Amino acid sequence: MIRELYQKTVRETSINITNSAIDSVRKKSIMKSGCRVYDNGFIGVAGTFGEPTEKTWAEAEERLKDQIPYPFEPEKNRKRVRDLRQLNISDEEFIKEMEDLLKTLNSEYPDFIFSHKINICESEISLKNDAGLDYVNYDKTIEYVLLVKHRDSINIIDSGLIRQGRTLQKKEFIEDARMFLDAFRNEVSLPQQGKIPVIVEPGMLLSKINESLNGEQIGFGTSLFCNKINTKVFNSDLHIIQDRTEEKYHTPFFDTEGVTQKDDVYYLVRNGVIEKAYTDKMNAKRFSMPLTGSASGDYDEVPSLSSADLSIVPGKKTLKELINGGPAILVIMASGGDYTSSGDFASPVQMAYLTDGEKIIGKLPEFNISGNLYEIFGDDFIGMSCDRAFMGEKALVVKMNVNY
Amino acid sequence: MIQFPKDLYTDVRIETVYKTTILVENFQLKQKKIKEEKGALIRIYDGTRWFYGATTDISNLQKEIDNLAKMAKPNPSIYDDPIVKKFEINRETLLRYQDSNVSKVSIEDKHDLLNSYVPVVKEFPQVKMSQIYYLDKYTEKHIISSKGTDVKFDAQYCCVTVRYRMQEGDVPHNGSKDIYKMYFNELANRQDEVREELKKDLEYCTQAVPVKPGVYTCVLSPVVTGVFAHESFGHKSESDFMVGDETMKREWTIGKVVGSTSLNIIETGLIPGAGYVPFDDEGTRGRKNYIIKNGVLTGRLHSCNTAVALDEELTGNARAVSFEYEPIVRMTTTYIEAGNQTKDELIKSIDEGIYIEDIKHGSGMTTFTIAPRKAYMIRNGRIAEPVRISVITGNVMKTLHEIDGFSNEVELFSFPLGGCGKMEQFPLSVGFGGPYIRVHGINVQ
Repeated sequence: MIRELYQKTVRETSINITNSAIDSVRKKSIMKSGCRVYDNGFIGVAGTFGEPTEKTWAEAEERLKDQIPYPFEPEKNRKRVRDLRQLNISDEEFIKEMEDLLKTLNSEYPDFIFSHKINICESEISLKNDAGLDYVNYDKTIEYVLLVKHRDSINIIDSGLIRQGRTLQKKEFIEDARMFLDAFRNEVSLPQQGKIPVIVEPGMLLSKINESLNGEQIGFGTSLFCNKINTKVFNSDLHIIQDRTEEKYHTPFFDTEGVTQKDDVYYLVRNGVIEKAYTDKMNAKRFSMPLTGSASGDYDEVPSLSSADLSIVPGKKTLKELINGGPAILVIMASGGDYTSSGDFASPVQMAYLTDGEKIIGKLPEFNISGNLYEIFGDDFIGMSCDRAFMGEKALVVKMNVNY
Repeated sequence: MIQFPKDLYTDVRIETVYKTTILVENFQLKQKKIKEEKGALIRIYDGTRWFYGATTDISNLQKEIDNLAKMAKPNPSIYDDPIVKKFEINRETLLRYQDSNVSKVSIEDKHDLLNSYVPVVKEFPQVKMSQIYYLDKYTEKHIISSKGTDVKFDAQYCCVTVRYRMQEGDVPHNGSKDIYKMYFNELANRQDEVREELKKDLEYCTQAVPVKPGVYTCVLSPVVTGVFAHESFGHKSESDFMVGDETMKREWTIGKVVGSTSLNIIETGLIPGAGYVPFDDEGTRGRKNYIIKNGVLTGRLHSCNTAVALDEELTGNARAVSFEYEPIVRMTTTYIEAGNQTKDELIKSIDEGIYIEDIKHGSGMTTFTIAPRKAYMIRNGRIAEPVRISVITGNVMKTLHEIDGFSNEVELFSFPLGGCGKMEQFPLSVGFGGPYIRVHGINVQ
């Protein structure tokens, strides 16, 4: 019998902002432990808050009687520690810095109301077993999520100022805020209706690809991509990876089964060709697919396959070069959109700016975006920028149908 | 016995949660677990700022309180602070599920119940993947405050949830059926409900065609009406967005006409289900609140902070998603009241429209959105072919005036998987529902 311990610890200091001032501070330190035992091709799991006790291990052993199949060897004799923590600031300094940030915003932009959270979050995720596996991933980030409302507006929220990073980035955040809030005061119209370059958060458009690249769904014959493996269906410049690199915040380099990949990446789509589905051990074996290390699950669950951390590989062009002089739309808030089962996407855009890829020109009225999966990531795919022009993030640019 | 720090307001919410999860995935046992968790959220207020601490170390609660208090500035007048004065003092034990606690049912009986639903799914070879869950949760909350509140209450649900993915031709389709009850013995012998849903999904999967985008009159089923009420106006009733905002106070004056004259929206924590909140997470007693009555804005939802800021009464809507978070203004059970027509009468009057039967998700700000799971054209007053829709949208303040028909019976719903999200706090259990309603001018894409 092999014993394995999966632990997640989150330490967080969270500042809440209401009506442009700090109104509360929340501190959290929560450890969650999942005890796993492997025996005769079965797995037993039990969880607890804090460090596990012998009682937790006994509960995990007790669950072996359920005979949940796990006919795989746990990972063995591997050791790695990845420590991405850089931020070193006391709670008192953090509060003082954020008071100063709000003072700057309030003095320069008294016509706006700022609210919501600025968090410092430190995570420690480990997977260790008595067969020599010893993986630990540390990360620590600051996350600015300020909701913005103009004092004369009748909307609940007008816009958002968002940034996440491993250093304080207060100066960069304020510079972004100035650029966006100045542009907010300049109302502009859509340059045209029809297909226009749109800069959009990748996760929203990748959701269908994430669903359809699931190895279990492909294996069972119920994915849009069932008959498209090794087929070129997207733009030649599109490469999609399963991403456990430092680009992803609080994502460990190992999956919940302890599987890792070279350089922490695995190519699923290359040059527009769907090469692989993402898998966990169960589905890789069941469908004779490559094991990509995409098992997930809560701390006290049997590892299983749900979705993967996907990224689009950036190209060599900056955002300005991708837009190539023409105007583009930078989507800030697009809530509620979705794909149909056949891959048609539509969403209202509640907040967007017009940009040339370098400067923010003005605030756009509400409109709708739409497109088809194979077009968005096919002929309409413009690229993923190599630079971080806005909000500290690389930018996905695609053409989408835009109309009021 | 907790020693509350001097010259500070303090309250503590201790949550004890028992949960069972059994999952049969593709007809093979995948998860089978019982989880018991206990944690506490401490709140300290000095008249200027709140300080929150989340802990699982209940045995050292006093130490956690004392450490958190060091961040606050003692205030000898704290009990004269308007927020502290506003807090209700309630002392009550309300353990309505103690005798029927789902933790008293053996996990083997729960597994047997789940297994009784497996054959229904096997009847449909078109189902390529399936997940059949048994889920239950018993929660006991104990809230004590330095002002004298001491309430203990419980809530519970149990459910069988069937998720499936079917495919005929090139396009997959996700379907689901939830059987959500308060008591374990109510979950048996409901296989026909699952079978009927599977049949409907199969028909939809094989026959649905892309919708022609446009603006339509829509009839919403009770579950869609509930999500619409929640997303379209429920979130706008959460008063935290108004604090310190003079424009919003003017815009949202009580007495303003905000919808059609037949429109009534109710918000209450008193109905058993996912939105059952007999006391909110500040210890305020739950109550029934009309937020729209006859089309007129009559109320909004409050925590103690917002009630003081807007000089209004408490409503029992300060809720947190778990002990790890502070309470903020959230909904409980939100529904539209019934009218006096039948579903058929609502549909009969429409030459070309759309019937939205089921949803994947919704969201709401100035524009609400609903992503339908199943929808059908209405032609010449009858339900016609199924259609695939990405999303339906509308401006909230225009759409509420466009509701002109309400069927005569309210149905209430709870989602066992998922719930309401508000910024970092997701998923919060909420109830929702209403009658069938007819709405004009919906943008369909």
